[in-house]
Amino acid sequence: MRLIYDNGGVAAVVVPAPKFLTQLAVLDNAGNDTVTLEEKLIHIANKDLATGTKYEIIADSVDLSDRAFRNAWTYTAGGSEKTSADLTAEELAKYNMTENK
Amino acid sequence: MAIVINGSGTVTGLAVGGLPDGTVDAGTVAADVATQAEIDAKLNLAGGTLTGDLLIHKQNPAITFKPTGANNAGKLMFKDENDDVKFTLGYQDSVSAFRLSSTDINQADYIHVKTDGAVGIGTETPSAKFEVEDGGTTIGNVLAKITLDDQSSHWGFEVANDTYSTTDANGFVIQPQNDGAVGLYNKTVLALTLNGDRGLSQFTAKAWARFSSTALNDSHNCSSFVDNGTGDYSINFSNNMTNANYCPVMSSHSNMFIGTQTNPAVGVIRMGNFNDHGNREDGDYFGLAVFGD
Repeated sequence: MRLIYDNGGVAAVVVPAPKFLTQLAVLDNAGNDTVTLEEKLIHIANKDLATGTKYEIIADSVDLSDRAFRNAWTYTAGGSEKTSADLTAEELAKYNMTENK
Repeated sequence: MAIVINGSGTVTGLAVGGLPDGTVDAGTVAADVATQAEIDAKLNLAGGTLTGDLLIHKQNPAITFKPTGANNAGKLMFKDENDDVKFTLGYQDSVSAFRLSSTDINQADYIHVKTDGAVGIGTETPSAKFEVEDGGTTIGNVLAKITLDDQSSHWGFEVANDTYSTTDANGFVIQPQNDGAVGLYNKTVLALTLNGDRGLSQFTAKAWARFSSTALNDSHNCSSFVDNGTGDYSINFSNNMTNANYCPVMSSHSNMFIGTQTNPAVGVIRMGNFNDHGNREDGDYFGLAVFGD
């Protein structure tokens, strides 16, 4: 899964770092991750996008390989659009952040 | 009347039909030297071999070893079937140490607990609360040493190849720092600091990433890669840099060059990649390493 959002009139694609996704895991007693991938991407959106940014989560199956007109890609809001929120004070401290973006 | 216990264990002097009136006078028995010798022989008070298990069953059972003279030792010895001593546990008064030794309590080869509480393994003279030495066959011929020692009021972990001191070190020390970081010392010189934020010190990259135009292949301390457009990429840090005065180092595809597109920020760095005509271009192999705080 990836995130897309409007970055100055051009669609930006956010690719999560696999190690950071692992870091966001919360395991139960059986060792199973209790945090869904979508929940992790929402957390990344809250962390890496400016608060209030509109974005959508797209599946890996969405083909973005044709980059001939990459700078003409635009973000169009869909039905599952979300808005990035603030991190908590505890999360800000965890990431060595003094304020939300 | 007196009771006489003879060598065969039979009691004589009793009236036929039952015990004599009254109780046996213990003083009378003890005063009989011959009888006492018989009891000693049965109870083996002066030595011998016990063939059954020993059980002391009372509220606060205790066994005490009390030597008869100075510099003696009280000990428990463990033998094999050939009567060879394998372990000896006891107190050696001459060196004021409780010991686990090999063949004899005089051997200073295993574990020593000094009367001040210091514990030494492989040494009978621990210089700290806990000290381990590998002296081979001779204590004092030290090959390696691990000591928990007090270095500048911080408890550290010390590995030395010889006797270590803060002023004359030949070894390696791991020591907590005042700010919560961990310092690695070569002799007395701080060689490397591991910071508490899981990033490393200025000696190593605090973040790095290997990426292409569309993917983040591998990384350290990066939360996401952003494809902003052709030849336009950002890397977000997992843990922000402490300040923006860090040094980013980038590598690009052949015949292209990559550089910072905007002033680096504490949480993100944006990069632009250009071909030899000065136009933005995508690529398959980019590298980023970030040094700083």
